This record gives sequence, structure tokens and C-alpha cells, in this order.
Amino acid sequence: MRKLLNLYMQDMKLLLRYSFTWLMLGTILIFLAMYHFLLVDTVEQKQTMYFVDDSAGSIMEIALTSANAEDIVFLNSVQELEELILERETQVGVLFSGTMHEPKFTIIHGETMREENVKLIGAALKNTLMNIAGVNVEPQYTTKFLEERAEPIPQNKMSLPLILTYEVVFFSFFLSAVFIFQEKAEGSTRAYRVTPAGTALYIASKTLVFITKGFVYSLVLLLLTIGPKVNFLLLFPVLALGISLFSFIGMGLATFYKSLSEWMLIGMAVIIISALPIFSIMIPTFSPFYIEWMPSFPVLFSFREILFPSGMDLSRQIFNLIGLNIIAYILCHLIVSKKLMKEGA
Amino acid sequence: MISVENLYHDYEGKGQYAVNDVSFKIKEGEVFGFLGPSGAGKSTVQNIMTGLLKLQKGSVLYEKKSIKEMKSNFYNDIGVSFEFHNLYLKLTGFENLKYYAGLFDVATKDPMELLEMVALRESAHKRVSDYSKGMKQRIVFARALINNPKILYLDEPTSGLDPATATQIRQLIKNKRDEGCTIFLTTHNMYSADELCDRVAFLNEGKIVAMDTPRNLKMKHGKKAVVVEYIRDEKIEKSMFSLDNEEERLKLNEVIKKNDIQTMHSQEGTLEQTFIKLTGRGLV
Repeated sequence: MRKLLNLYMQDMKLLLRYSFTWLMLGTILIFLAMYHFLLVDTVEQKQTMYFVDDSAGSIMEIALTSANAEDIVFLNSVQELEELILERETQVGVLFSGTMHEPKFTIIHGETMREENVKLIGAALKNTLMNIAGVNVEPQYTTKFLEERAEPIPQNKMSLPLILTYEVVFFSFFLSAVFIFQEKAEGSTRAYRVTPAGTALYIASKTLVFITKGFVYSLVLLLLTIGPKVNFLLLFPVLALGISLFSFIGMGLATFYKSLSEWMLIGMAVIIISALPIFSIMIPTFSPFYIEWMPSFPVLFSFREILFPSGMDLSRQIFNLIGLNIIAYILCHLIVSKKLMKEGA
Repeated sequence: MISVENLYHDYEGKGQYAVNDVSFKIKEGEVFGFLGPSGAGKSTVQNIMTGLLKLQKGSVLYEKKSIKEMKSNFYNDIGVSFEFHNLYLKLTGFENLKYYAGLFDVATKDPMELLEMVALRESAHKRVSDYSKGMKQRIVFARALINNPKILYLDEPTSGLDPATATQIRQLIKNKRDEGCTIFLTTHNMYSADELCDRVAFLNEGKIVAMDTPRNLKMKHGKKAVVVEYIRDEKIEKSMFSLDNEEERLKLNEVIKKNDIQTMHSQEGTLEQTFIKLTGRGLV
């Protein structure tokens, strides 16, 4: 324990003396500044519908006006409508022609409008028309939620699980490589080899340093964004498991290379591949097995659940992380012992 | 105490041995010099002896126990000073020693005392990146002593140092020798070896070509003669007299009696001359 503490203090001092550590911690300040001054809780996009009623007697215009329909602006001509939509591509234009018995709607919109929205507008117009005709169009469906609905995640907090994951995946993986290459360049690993300290302490002290940095980083980030209501008792163990996992992977991999420049290609490839589970967060239906088996997947999903609880059981993700940690540590220990702690082995 | 028998090492496994059938023994308290030019295989032997390199063929025994059987506590008993500095450049001299001391299971020396010993006390709290080469060499040497080692491995401890610093390091090695420490000195500096070692082995192309005390090697392979410079008829004369030849010994006596002697040098040779004679190559 005394040796571990001693090594930990040494590695911590080294970490604090690397300029990139401060650069990385500076990213918190940038994010916090963005969070508090640029990003907002919810983004409301107001969409106005521009309407031209070309029918005899302007029946739709009269019906919509009497129904006090919001966000509808009535225009006088088709030409005026087309010019306006060309100018404001995110807005929608509707041209009504024909009669009550043979209605004809033309929806005019910019290129960015999604097909689902076009159909929704079409359905709304059809409902309006049926109301005018006196047909009951009350919805005949009900919605039943099997689980309690989670609070919607505020837009400016959506990126927090991603930032934490990047702190774990990117920083601890990258820092492991930086430490190994720095020590290789200085030759200090050689001096370490002729002490009784051994491989396990070497790996453990570095991992503990990265975990400490991760805790400080996360604590500052989360206290100044979400506040103290985060379940830190669950977050910290998951954070520690994530950081240790990527530290073991980082150290094991860096051992095979002589310098950071040699490592860069494979290192960046690992980081990019590890980022793939982000797609599963963005598109919940996209979670193929090869994404779920990535070490970053349980980390990312656990962070999201801890920060924004939806009632999901995390035990599977945590067991996955523990299992991956055991495998990664064994491999890392073997590789570091064989390749870093011996010469010419 | 240390016995190395029929040691071989092949880095690439292609039958090209960097170390080829090397055998020697080192007694407790002895200073054993391992001499040879760069690439002769000196550091390879030291690395095998310290467990840094895997033992491929042959044996390295400490008190009859193989290096292969040594556990990590073996390192509590040895100190290693490398030719290259291998220090944490972002830490201060004091921090380098303090953290290194914390890696051992045995009582260690006070880092500040060691820094004092190598005349670095005033620079103790400067980062090692700001140290000169000589300062780094001294702190690496100090670091090797931190665990009070019974066996000290020194790889080129005076390489590239200014004469004053080299003298200082040699004195520190003598002090350790006087304390009874067994020292394995790897160097191509014959002057250091001659001054410090009880016995030396010449290593060339991975093989030991000679092994004895420095005196015996010089006597065996040098000339038993004396070169004398003296003034005769207001001119400086220089003559060599063989000490094996009775007639020349009488001549030498005559010269000493009748002339003003300026210089007189015995011609037993230096270790370097002996090495060149034995291997046909220089030491650098």
C-alpha cells in the first residue's frame, strides 16, 4: 500500500506537470461557458403556415379563421405564396382549390421538410375539412405507457453523457499512451524495472491517477450543470470502471509502439470506433450486437441512465464493465510484463 | 558470490551472438571491471545479470541461486546505474530520489543526504530537465545507492563527464568499495578501470579475451623497461632500458649517476595498450 501511494503521488505530480492536462481541464470551462451562455433548455421552433384559399367563397379560410387556428397567415395569391416559401424554406405553404366535395390541397415547402411532417399537415387539413362538413373526427385511439415515462432530457444537458464518455474513453486511453511514451523516451521505465515494485503497481498507480482526474473532472462538470441531485454514489463506480477499462486498453496497446506518432494511427482508430455507440444514443433503434459489445457501449448507456434516470436496470451494463475490466487487466498485465518490464523479450 | 557460466545471448535468434560463451566469477566485496568497446556486449551481460534481459543460455548464479529463480525482492539488494540517465525530467532531483526510494521494501537512504553526497543539494528542488549532463549522471549514481545495495551495477558511470565530476564519481565508487559493496563496473574507460577495479575482464565481440588484475594484465602484456629523459652536454636525451637485460640495467644505473634526470617512466603499458594488443582494436 505504501509503495502504491508513493507511485500514485509520483504519477499525480507528473500528470499535473503535463501541460495538456490543463488544456484538457480547460475544456470544462469552455463547455460550462457554452452551457450557461449559449445552450438553452429547450429549443422551440415556431412554424407558420401560409395559406391561400383559391376556392369559390373561400370556405377553408372562413372555417380556419372562425376556429381561431394559430400560426396561419392568409395570403392573396399563389405567386405571393411561392415567393414567400422560396424565401423562408423552413415554413410551409398550403394552396386550397376545388370544392367541399372535391377538395384539392397543394402543400408547398422547402427541401428540408420531412415526409412525416408533410403527411401530418395533410391529415390536419383533412380533419379541418371534415369538421366543416360536420363529420365527427374525434380520435379513436388511446395511448398506454407500460413504464413510467421519463422526464424529457433538456437539450443543453443531452451532451453530458457523451462528454463524460469522452472523458473516460478518450482521455484515459490517450493519457495512458502519453505516460508510457514519455517514460519510454525518458528511459524511466528502465529504472523502474530494477526495483521490486513490479507490474501490478505500475498499472494500478497510473489507473488510480486517471480515475482521480476523472472524478474531479466529472464532479466539477456535473455540479455546475445538473447540480447535486446526480447519483454520485452510482456514477463514481461506473466512472472508475470505465476509466480503468480504457486505461488498461491504452497501456496494453501503447506498449507495442515506440512513440506517440507511431501509435497515433491505431490510437485514433480505437477512439473513433469506441465513439460508434453514440449513434445508438442518437438513433435508439440502432443498436446492433457489434455496437453493444464495444467497451464504450455500457459506459455511455450507464452514464445516460445515471444522469437522466428512466428506470432502466443498470446491473447488466455494470456486470459487463466488470467482466471487461477483468479481461483487459489480465491482458494488460501480461503485455506490460512481457514487453515493457523486460528488454528484448 | 556471483557466478556467470557459459553465457550466450542472441537478440534476433539467428545465431549471431551478442554474448558468446562468457564465464566469470565475482567475489563478495570485489570491484570487477567489464571492459570493452561500444557494442562488445558489456551492457547485454549486465542486463542479463540484473534480470532485465531474459536468460537464454548459460547460467547466472547469486550465492548458487539462479537469476531465473529470483523474485522481485532480489532488487532490494542491488543498485543499478545506467549509462543513459532515465530520470523523470519533469520531477525535481529530490522528487526523483524520494519516489524511487518508496519503491523498495528495505530501509533507504535519505534523498537529501544522497544529493549532498553527490554535491547536488543546492539543485535538489530544480527540475531534472534543467540539470546538466554531469548533474544527471551524479543523480543516477546517487539513485543506485538509495537502497544500500549489496551489489552495485555501474554502466559507464564516468562517461562524458568533465574530469572534476569523473574524479568525484570515482571517489564515491571507492567509498562504496571500502564499505564492502560488490561492484560490477561496465566501462570503456581504462583509466577508471585501472584505478577502481580489483580484476577486469576484456570483452570483445561478445567474448572474454582476457581476465586478471589490472596489474597482472599490464605486466604480462607490457614491456619490462624504463624510458629515461636526461640532460647530457646541455641537450635532452631519451633512452629506453630493458629491465630484463643485465647490461641495460647497468647502463640505466650509469645514466642515473652521471646525468641530470628529467623524467623516468616504466613501460609496463596501460590497460588500453594491453587491450589493443589483445584484440587489435581500440576501445571507443
